[in-house]
Amino acid sequence: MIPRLLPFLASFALCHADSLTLKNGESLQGELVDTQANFVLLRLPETEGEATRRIAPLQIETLSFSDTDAPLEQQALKRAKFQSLLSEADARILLDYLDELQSAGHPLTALAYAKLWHPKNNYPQLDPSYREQLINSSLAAGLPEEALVHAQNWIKRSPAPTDHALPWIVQAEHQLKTENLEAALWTSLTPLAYASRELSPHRQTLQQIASHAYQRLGYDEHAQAYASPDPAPKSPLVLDPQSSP
Amino acid sequence: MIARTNSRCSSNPPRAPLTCYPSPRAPRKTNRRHRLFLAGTAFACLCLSPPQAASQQIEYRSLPELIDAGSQALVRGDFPQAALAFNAIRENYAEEPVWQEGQLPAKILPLAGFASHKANLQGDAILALENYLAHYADSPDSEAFARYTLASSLMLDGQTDAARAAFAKLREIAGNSPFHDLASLREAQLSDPPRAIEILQNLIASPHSPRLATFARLRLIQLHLENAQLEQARIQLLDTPWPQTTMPELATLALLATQTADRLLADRPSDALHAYQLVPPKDQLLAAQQKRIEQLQLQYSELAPELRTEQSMWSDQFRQSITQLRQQLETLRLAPDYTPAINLRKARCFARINRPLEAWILLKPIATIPSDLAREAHLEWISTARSMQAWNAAARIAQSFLKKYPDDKDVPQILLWIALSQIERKDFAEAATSLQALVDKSPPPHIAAAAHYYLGFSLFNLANPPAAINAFQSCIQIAPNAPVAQQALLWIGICQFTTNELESAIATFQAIQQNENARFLHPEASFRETTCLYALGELEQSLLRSQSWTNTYQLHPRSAEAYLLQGDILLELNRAPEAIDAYALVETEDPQLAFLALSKRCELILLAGRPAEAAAILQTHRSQRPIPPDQIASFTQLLSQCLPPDGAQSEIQATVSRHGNDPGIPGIVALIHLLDAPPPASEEQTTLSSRLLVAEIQIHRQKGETTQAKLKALQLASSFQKTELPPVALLEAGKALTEIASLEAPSYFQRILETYPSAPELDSAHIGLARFYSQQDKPETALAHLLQRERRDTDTLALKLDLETRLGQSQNARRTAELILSDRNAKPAHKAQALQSLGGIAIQNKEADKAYAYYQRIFTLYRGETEYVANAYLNCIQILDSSNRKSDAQSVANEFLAQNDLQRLPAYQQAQTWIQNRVAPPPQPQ
Repeated sequence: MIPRLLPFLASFALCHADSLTLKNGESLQGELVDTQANFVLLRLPETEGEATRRIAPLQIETLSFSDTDAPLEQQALKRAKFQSLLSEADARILLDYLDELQSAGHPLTALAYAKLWHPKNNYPQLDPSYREQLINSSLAAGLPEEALVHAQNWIKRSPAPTDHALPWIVQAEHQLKTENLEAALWTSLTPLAYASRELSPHRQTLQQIASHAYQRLGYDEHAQAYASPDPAPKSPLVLDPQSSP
Repeated sequence: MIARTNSRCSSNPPRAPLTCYPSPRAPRKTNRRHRLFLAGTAFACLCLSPPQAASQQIEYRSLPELIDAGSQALVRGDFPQAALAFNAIRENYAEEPVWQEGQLPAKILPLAGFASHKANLQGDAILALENYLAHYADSPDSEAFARYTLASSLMLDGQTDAARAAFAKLREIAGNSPFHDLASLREAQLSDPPRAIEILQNLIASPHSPRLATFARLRLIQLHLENAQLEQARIQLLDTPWPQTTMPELATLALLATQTADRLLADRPSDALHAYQLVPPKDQLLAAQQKRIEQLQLQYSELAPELRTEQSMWSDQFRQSITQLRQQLETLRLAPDYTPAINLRKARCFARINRPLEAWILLKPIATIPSDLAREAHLEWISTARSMQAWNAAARIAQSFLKKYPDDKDVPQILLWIALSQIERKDFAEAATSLQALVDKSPPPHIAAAAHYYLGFSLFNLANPPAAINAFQSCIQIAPNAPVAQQALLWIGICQFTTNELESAIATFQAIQQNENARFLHPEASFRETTCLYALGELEQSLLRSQSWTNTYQLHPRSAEAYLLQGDILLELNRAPEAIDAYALVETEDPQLAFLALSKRCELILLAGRPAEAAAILQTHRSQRPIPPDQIASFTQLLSQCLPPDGAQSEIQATVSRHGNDPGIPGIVALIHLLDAPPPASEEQTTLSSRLLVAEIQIHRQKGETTQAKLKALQLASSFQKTELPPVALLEAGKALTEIASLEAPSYFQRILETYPSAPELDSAHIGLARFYSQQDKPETALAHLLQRERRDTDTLALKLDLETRLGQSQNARRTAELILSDRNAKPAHKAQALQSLGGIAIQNKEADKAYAYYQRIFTLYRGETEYVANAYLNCIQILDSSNRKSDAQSVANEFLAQNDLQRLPAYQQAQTWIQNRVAPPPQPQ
């Protein structure tokens, strides 16, 4: 009976193995264990004992993981070891895990991982999600100053905020809080100036900040206008800016 | 699932009952016996139809072979071969029983029609499909397919009307299927614009395919725009959200949104902005369009295997859409980035809807990054800053424009803007310099006239009426017929009035009133003429003019001032009751003017011995409108004069107690002086306490107790926070600190400037700063503060002269000195200083005789000013000595040295040394 089962078990083991495709087309199966001195360690299945192969990252075309049914945490932490070699889909799993941590009320852990993984991210399209995560988890962890630093770094990186309003909100709220009213006004209005027609969830927040700033600067009519969804002040604005963006 | 084989062409039962037509992939199995039969029939037909056969290629294939060949060709996409085969069946077997009695036509005709349509044999297609629809159409699906194909063939065959009718028919029978929308789109395509619009509107109102509805909406906007129906285009574009995350036609939407927005911009900037906001930046649009193409491609590839032949129009639709989107994407990719152009237009919209900050945010990067739009954006950036009255910023932005585009055709305009910005922020000296530079560049006449005009205005504000008159005259010379020339003439009159050339001023104002082209200035000129007559003491004449003026221009904005003037004239004429009536007619929104008239009226009533009446008027006035904060103290003072002593004291006490601790209310110290028992200083009311201290300082000063006054002034600085001090206390503290050369002094003056810009102490704060910086040997900063003063008394002019002399600004110094000399109120010390400066300037200009005359005037006219006298003597001695008039020099020196009261002065000792050297010259070195 046992001899008849062996081939089945072997094939089962192979079915559930990670795989690694080399640039020369060769495909290796086994268990992706870790990276060591930048080399990927792949534990190869052997009939008698185990062997671990060290593969230079430059040789690797793709990695494929077999743990798709495993808990998200397990998937993410495993993939994090090979972050520079991940496919976009696998790289997204890291972000999914950060979201999960955040939703589960562990913002500090999310922040710690985000800070660790963000610099190693190879996909520019995932960069905003990491930055958003850094800001949101800092805020949720009660670290507004850190959130501000992340926001300011983001603003420096992409000066025209056509896509992402969050860092501008954080920056403007800080300026409002520190009575830097004119700066708060400029900051909150910048994403609004570039905004597209589709209402983003952030638009309302930005308009509220602008409205507060206008009010505290003594521009009641503008303050009132910005409290409405489509601001159109009736009278011209007379303001000699001390600071402009 | 749709069956892939045509079961009905085989002998087997149908595999899928849904299949209506022979599939392109059928038949897999052939019925050879049946084919043979059919082939025989076909042959017979062929023989029996020679004319028909002769007109065509002879078809040797049997019916089954033709069906096979046609089906296989269809599968291959070889439509000409398929059409050949199916049309051969149609033509060769039409008279056969197999055709006439069986289902063959119902199967073959649509295929023949479809294949012919695809093979561009539209005549054959039309024939086959019309035949099919007339006799064999047996299900809504197949009828729809046939009608669509027929209509398409008619369209391609150039039979537009028939095609349109065919699509209309299809639309009618399509029910709720997407065919309805497809047919509507095609029908609209073939209809005239009004009908097309109607069809598309119906489609959008009750769509059967969301994708086609979006397409129809875009097409409808395009039609509205082509037919100048902007409002309808706007409604279609903006009133319903777009499925931007799913719709493939993003580029089309962006294009139509831009076109609509461009037309809305002039009259409906808010809507234009919304439309521009539908245009994503180029990189985003490229990425989104690429993504949509991929989505559409995926959708099509998933759907394609399931599409039956009669659904092929959907394949066509997908393929056409994908091809079109790819072409658009490619064009877009190659096109230059349109994003800055859209942002520029959005900025214009923001500027027009009173949101200049957003305009600024968008304009700045376009203006600063080199591009074709940079210059335009820069100009609009300047305009935006000017619209916000951000004069400093506007001037800065304009300067950067000049730096970037020094040879630009708009440079004169920009220079004028800069100067206007400087005028708006009351930097008249800077404005005059900028305007002079502009005038020197010989700008075009319209700019030159404006430049001279504003130069005149700036010079007038710099208290230089003669130069202002020259500038206004240049303006008139350049543009004698422009309205600005008459305004310049008015200003000339005002300058003449200011310099007391009243007759000339009257002549000027009369000249304006005689010019019919200057009607808009007649009331102003007439009013000014009346004031000149009043100033000349021509009271009767000025009264007549004034009365005539108020009768003629009853609703003129100046009428309040005219009644005030009338009151003043009547008062001078000792017609107090009439003056009171005239003051009572002053009705104005200007609180200053209203209060001035009220106070004059009440003072006259008080003088007439009717204090109760005056008090009643004042109290009524107070009940009708709130007293402006800056007049509260004056009002209280006046009211207290009208009340009995007890009432007066309680009125003053009430004001002091209500407003004494508010640093923004002026005049409280004067009220404190009026109180029999001022309130005690308290820690709770620090501002009031500081005012009590100021009152004490003023009393000490009146008594000549300068030391106590100074000590208490320093106490203001040491015992109070700056924020607690009202301007009058800040000024006292600042002056006291200046006297001890404390570096803290400027912050007190500065607080007045920054926190209380309307305070009466503003000018004194500027002077305080000027004196401080003059002491600190920073004449340039000192002068800058002095130039910001609006009022110019002789003390200030003297300080200005000193600073200008120290800075070597001879021209300005000469002008200031002349102003001092022409000032009747100037003290001898001021005049002596002015003469000394003029002498120094004459020496610099090598005009020794002139210099001598100035110095001589000092020791002749102002002998009390010993220091100036001594210096003047010494200067004269030196002038004569250097002119080799030794004996004259000796005489002057003797005269000088004879005056014992000058002995302690350095100049005296220098003169003594000069005499000694002259008597016994020192030994010359060998």
